[in-house]
Amino acid sequence: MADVILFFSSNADTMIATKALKDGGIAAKMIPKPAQVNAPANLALSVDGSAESSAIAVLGKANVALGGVYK
Amino acid sequence: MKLGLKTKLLGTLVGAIVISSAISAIAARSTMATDLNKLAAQQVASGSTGFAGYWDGKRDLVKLLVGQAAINDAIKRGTLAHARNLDATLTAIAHQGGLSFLTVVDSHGVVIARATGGRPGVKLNSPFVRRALAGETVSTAATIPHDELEPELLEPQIESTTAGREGLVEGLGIVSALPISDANERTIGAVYGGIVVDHYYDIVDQAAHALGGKAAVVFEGELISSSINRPDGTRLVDDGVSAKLKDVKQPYYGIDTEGGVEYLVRVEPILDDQTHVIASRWFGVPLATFTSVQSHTITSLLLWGIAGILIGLLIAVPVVERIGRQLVARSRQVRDSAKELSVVIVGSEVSGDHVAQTRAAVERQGELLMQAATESEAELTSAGGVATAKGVAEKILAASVLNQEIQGDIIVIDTLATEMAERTQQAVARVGELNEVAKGLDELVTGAK
Repeated sequence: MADVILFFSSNADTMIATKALKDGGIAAKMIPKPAQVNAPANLALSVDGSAESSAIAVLGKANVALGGVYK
Repeated sequence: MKLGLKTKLLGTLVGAIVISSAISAIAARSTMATDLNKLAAQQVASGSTGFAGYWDGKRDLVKLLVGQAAINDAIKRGTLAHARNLDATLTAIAHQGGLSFLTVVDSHGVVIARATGGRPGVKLNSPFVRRALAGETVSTAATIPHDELEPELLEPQIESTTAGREGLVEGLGIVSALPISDANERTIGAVYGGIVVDHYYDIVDQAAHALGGKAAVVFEGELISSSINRPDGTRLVDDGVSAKLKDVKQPYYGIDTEGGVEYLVRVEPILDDQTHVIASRWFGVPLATFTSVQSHTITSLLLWGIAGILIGLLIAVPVVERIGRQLVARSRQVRDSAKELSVVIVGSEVSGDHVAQTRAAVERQGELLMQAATESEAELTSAGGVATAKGVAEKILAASVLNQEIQGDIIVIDTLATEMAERTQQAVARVGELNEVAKGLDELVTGAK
């Protein structure tokens, strides 16, 4: 399944999200924000498409505000 | 249940005031109970003594008046002459001195004249008259039997004024009897007079007004004279005294209820001149006089306690609000600092992970390139210098894909480095802020700068 891009309102939130997903056992890779994504942060997270819902749930539980998802 | 700091501080203040007021009230109640008991005992004892003084004063007055009658020349002459017209003289003396009766007898005890206008010519069988005829001066409280009251026309005075209640057949008197002597000091008769205390209110009213309580005389278990009021405002007489006081032989001190009111009383027996108990004097002060002082003081203390709570809250609420605001501000600073610092810590960990991932990618790329180089050399050697290059191209393509990934990773590392550099600077500032917060909290607690 293709990867999905999760983006956030700041690089700090992206870092916190990375840590939260790592602690939640979900593989996520930090990447430069794609040009197609309109977000204030320069970084985004790439997550396997099959883990999208789990990732969103983990982020919600960790109280990390998700800026959006790019597929 | 978790309580906030404001609630705890204000609760502690209110609790302290409430406890202080309660302890004050208990202490005041206890102290007052002791002091008021002493005061009450003193007041009732001194009132009772005063009442006894009025009683004795009246006895002495009776003795004086009867004594004056005994030495009155007109009475002496009349006694010698058995003059029936002594009535007017006796009436005048009795009326002037407030005596209920005044009677002159001859040396045989036969009545010559009476102030009340009663029938003369009959023998008066009073023991006091016999003693007076024997030369003795008698002055005492005494039971006046019915056969003495009736000829003196005093029977109506002892009759009950309470409807449907049968009165007593005997009366209580303060009497005196003295011999009447002629010029040669021979006893020619006797004069016998006194006051019937039944329904006679001078003594109890004087005592009550002067001593500030209520006074009564108890005779044969009944209140025959009193200044006590019934609930309807009428005078409490011709009513039975409470059972415990019907037959008092020794002074009694305690609580008694008369006319529906509780009194702290002292009751003393009235003795005749032979030391027989014939009646009792009741003196009491309404118990409410003392309990109301206690209740009023306790109520005052509690009201002042409530006023204290309100004043305390008025002063404390702004102070607690200010402290609360300062603490909230400090807490916000700490929370913001903690968030910043946590970002730095998380950022360090994430950066480290990312660098490790990048390093792994670089190593994998190196391996692919090495494999491509090795395979192309082997194929060139074995195929006689013609390279098919299919495997090599795949390796180079994979290395190229990895290269793109590594480039992205390097951009990420660069971004992270920049971000972390800023965050580290902010963290230093936040640590400084935390020190300020700690200092501010110290000042808040100790009040010293």
